[in-house]
Amino acid sequence: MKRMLAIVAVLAAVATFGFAAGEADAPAEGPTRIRVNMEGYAGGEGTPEEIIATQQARLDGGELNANQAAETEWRIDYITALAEAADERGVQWEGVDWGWAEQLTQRQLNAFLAEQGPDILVGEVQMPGFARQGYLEPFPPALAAKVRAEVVPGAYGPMEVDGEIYGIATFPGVNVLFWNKDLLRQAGLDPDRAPATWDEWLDMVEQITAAGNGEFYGGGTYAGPNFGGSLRVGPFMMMAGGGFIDENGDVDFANEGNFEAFSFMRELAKNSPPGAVAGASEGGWWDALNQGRIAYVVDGPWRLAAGEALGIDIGYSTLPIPTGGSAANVTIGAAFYGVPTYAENKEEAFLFIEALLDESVQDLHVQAGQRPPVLQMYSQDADFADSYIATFHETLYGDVSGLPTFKGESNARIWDVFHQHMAEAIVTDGDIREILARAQELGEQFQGQ
Amino acid sequence: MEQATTVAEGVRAGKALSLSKKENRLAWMLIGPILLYFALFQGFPIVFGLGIGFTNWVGVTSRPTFAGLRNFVRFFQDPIYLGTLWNAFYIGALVMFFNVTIGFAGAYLLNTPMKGKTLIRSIWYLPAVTAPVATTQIFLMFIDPSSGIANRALQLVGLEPIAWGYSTFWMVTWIVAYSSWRGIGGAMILWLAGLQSIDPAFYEAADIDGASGWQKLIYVTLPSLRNITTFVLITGFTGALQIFEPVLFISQAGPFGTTDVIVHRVFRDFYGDFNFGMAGAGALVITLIIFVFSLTTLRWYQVKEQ
Amino acid sequence: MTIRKKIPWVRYIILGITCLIFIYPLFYAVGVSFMTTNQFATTPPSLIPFQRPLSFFHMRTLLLINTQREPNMPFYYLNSVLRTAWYIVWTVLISFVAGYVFARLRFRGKNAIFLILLMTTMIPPVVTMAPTYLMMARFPLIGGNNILGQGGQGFLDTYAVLLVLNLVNILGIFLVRLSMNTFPRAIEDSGRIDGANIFRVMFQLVFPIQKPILAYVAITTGVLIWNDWYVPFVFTDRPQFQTLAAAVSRLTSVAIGQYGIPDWPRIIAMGLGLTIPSVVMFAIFQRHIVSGLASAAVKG
Repeated sequence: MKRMLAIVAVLAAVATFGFAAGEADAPAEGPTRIRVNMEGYAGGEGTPEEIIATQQARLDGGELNANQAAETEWRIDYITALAEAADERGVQWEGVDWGWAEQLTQRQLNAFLAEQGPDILVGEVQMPGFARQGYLEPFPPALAAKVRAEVVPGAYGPMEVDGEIYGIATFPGVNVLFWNKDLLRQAGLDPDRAPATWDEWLDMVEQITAAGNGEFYGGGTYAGPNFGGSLRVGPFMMMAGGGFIDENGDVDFANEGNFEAFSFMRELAKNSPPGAVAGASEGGWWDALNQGRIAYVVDGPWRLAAGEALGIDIGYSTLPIPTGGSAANVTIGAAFYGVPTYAENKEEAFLFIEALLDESVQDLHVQAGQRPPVLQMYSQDADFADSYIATFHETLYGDVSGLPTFKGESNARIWDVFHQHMAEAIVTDGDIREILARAQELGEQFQGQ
Repeated sequence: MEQATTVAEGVRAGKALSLSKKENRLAWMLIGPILLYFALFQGFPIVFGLGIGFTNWVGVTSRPTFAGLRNFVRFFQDPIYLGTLWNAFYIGALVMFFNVTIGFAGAYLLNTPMKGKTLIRSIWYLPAVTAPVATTQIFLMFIDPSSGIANRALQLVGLEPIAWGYSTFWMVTWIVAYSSWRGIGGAMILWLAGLQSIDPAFYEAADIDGASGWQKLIYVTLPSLRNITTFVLITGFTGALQIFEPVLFISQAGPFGTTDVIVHRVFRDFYGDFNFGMAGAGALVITLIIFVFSLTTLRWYQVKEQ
Repeated sequence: MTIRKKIPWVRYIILGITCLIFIYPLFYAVGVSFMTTNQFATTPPSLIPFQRPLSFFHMRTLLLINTQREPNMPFYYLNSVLRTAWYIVWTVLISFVAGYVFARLRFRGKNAIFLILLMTTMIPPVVTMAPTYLMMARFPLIGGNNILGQGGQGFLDTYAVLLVLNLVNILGIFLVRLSMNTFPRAIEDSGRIDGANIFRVMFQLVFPIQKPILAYVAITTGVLIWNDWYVPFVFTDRPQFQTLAAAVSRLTSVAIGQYGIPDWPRIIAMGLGLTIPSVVMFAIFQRHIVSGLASAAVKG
């Protein structure tokens, strides 16, 4: 007991040094180094040198499989190119990794509260909301003009508010259809056949489920009660002429398009393993794909590489279209970069965004083949036209939107309401119109508050 | 025993006398810095956090304005807030019921000399020391529709797999299961401490009177545990009403919002909508409920005591 | 009594089964942590989750043999240990001093203050999240802030922020006070008569006797702080300042994140690294938990 006490006391004393050291460890003087909030695919923590060193250490560790090693090598190239492009513009930077989704949003909220934090923030569904609430700085005219002239509209469209651009995704995803070719073969279908319409697709899905006999299913899309669900169900709502808001920006859930989309989704959901379509976590859905238990999924461009890494033979095509509908899409996995109003180094921050759009940096996205580049110039490139990501690049010219931010003070509450009712409409036997009407009523009530 | 009586008398007598100035100064010298630290680092955020319930404050960059009771009116008119309150009540009651009863049963079985007692006691308590952020992930993995062993086990005994995530009943069951898994040990230890503090002479007296096991449980054991019962009830209720991490990490309020509990709602108002006013109001409602329950329980305890 | 005395094996069976239930999730987690991500993702689940070949990749990271995947792992451990020790020392000291003062000394406002302190324990922690953050960011004269709290980053992203919050544990004070109530004054009085000042009375006479309840406070505080992910995660950016719990919570967000596949083996293995030390800590001190509580509860 005595010895234990002594050890604890000594450790506490050591912590005191940490206390003092933290105070003394003020930021070093020197050229301004902007802090950039980054995500996990093309970012890292610390200065470019530190990020590269970390990745190099992973590589030298020899524990990585071929895929991971290739990804790591690519990351080193990417950070090197980005650092050079920033350097040319006289910008020094360091990355900050705050995670993703809920936890990232919380920390960004905290940064706005304290009016201090990184000079550039990154995020997905929360960023358009930040733009609308005035937390982000509009792009300066020169940069905005350059973006409009050189970048595909889908990359910045969701971040446009009242004619100003507040952010841009430099390697955005859009939804496409993926399938496990093996399961199509087992069901006696042509593994390369891409369904063109909803009816055709549903027919194929049902054939696969019948052939699977409980072992595997046709699948469809994840539709859980969260943004992972609405990001993938959203395109179907829009294709059928439905959506989330009307032209005035008011809540608009109970419309015929949504009814049609949800009815179709319900049919798809019957062709999935129990509980996988609308689980709280997406994990169950992707595990089902990885274990060869579902044929079709809707997802962003990374799914091909993820599937191939597990040895699944994957086919892909643009999303099927409903009879009488038209193609539409929602960005997914799009990392929008924006500059918060509190930022101390706004000028450098916008220069950094320019560096993200530099050809040398964008070329690396082409090289990785996982996320499409956003510069329009690639459309003229014949070599690029045949590549996998050209499908996505092409889609970004079309009717692509982000998820909306609702009017009033209760955006998150209205989303909670929508997500819960969406899942209910798709996986229960309730009357879809009645469920949509309930969602509409609650949505209007909260919108008015 | 005698000693305690004289001390108690001394205290009672002391009240009549004026406070000793020296003692007063000494006490404040010792406790003053602690209270100062507490007021600054722990008290201030509480007052701040509860005060914002009376303001209209939405959005991090806006300034608060006084709103009076508006937020509370809204709270009690809104079916969703009232629903979350009800959810917290019944999920909390279930968790508390299992923790208290199973905890008591465990303590009762363990409160005799037996081999392996320490080991069993440790295993019961073990989940309580684990980190929720880590162990909720294990439960989440269990009910995964594809790689979860819960459905696997059903299939092994020839049953149909269950879509856990679509059923309110099953989701509540899993939240209660996790909370009890982590909470029973704590309740058991408290009961055990209480049981061990009962004077064996009482049991000997009951034995002489020829009491049966059940009679001893009802007439000797339970009445002697009133202290610890009060403590278990109050801490149990306070904890159960604030169930949050299992909902956040396991069910995410699903399916279809049926496991949304009040603290989760407050959290969503805070970090989802930046609606500090409503979050403060919700927090104040929980606080008041906990106060009323605790005071009622204490009152019951005092009445019984007399 | 009948069950307990006549058929002891029934008791063993009941307790044995419950023990299995309590231990199984942890057992399962151990199994998963010996898998690779692909092994876990591609094979149907099994009740005994051990797959050949066992992968020691995550274990090597946990034991700091190979930290390529988590280069900051040593920092996580170090910060968790230092932070836990710091909180144990201060919480025990404060609980003891304050509990003693409330139990033994008479001073103006004593009952009112104690009641207020007790009432604060009923406030749901969610109330203080944002206010605490604002206070840390705007703390005057810290981290470059001026007297009005403007101009710098306050306590944010400093090591100090891991150490300054919530040092006072009201429940600890409450338990020490309860425990003191059952402890006869005569010993202290004799000490006083011998001319010892109050500090000598407190630390030489009372402290050793109050060890069980203080051990209880120490263990509960230790476990609480060891498991706390919120403070390091929210208040600091630098990976060198993270604790193990914060690293796990970050991992659950990063590893699920936008790609959708939770890297269960990695998450679970890190979670085990977090769980095992608190389990060991508990195993060493578990007898104090019962005896400590009992000492406070007896006729409390």
